Amino acid sequence: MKPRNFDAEREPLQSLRAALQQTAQALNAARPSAAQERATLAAMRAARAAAPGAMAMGWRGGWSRVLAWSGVACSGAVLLAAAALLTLEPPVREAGRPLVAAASGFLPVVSTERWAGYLRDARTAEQAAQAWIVSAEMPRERLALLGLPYDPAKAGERVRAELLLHPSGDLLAVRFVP
Amino acid sequence: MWPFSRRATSLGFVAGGGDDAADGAQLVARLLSGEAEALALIYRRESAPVYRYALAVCGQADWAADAMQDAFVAFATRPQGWQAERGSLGAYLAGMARHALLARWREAGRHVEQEAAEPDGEGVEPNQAQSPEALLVRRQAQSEVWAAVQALPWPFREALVLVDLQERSYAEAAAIAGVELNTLRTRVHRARQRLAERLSAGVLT
Repeated sequence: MKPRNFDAEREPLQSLRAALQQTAQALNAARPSAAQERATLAAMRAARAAAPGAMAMGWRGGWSRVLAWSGVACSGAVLLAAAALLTLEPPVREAGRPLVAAASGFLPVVSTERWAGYLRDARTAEQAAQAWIVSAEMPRERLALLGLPYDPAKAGERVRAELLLHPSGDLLAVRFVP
Repeated sequence: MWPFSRRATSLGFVAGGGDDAADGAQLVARLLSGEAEALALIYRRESAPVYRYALAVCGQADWAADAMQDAFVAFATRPQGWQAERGSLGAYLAGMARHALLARWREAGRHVEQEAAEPDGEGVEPNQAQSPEALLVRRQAQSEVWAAVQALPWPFREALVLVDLQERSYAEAAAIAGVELNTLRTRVHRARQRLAERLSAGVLT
């Protein structure tokens, strides 16, 4: 029987070990971008504020800053649930329009990457995404869920907004109507 | 025996159990009591390893960021979904990111093998070859190794990432992957075998 050459068998494993260790060290340096981190934290806060039983007072303290373009991203499901609770009248849904054209003037509520991806897909897909715009009314205090500043003295007043919905049902962006 | 040392904290993950579980439980308790700052503390403590796990298994920075966000938002919506006796908070969040990634692949029409088929045929699985370019691959000093890891079938790749790149315990890795401990061990072994074969064949320089 031919003896096994353990040295020859061990060498590729040792080389692999070294290579994986270097790869692991490089991976350890990877981090989300600062914008992604801000967006995720904002989305978490919005989700927590909308969660049943959350203590509302504790979650309003940090909302007094202007929404940055990529500073707020909220899970679509959370905002759809919030939107469903906001209005007392049936939402008015406009006929579908191409997403790219419809998106003008809206503030995205998804991450920058997702927003760019939706716009990119809408430009390239043959069956171009037909976005839906849903009109709704909401109390001013609900602006906090979207990371927007509001005057607490007018918390109960209602504002009109338009919600931009992707054909998949995802809530993409919000536009406030004067 | 695999000649790796188990430096549990060097790559940002702390093995579940003991102090880690207690710290996680304390933070979640503070969160549930309404302490706003607890949310940020949890995020800063757990986000980097979750992101790196997602990045290593999918190879795309934007997908990894989205999966991380989905996991943390889902957690923030229902923090009581995590139970300390089942594992670390980090493992729980990584598992949620895993679900998000798999869902996204399915939405994209890509089939992800949940069971690792034995290599009767060589070469990269079609779904892997069709995976989008990974920005991180280009930046990695060991880009060939990274590409080889990305070329592994999902079950092997995930196992290798969890155990060898992130140095999680086998138990925690199995919990995240949703498989039995022995299954996870087998997957790690086979992943190493495949990479070692590519290395010895000169594919990796």
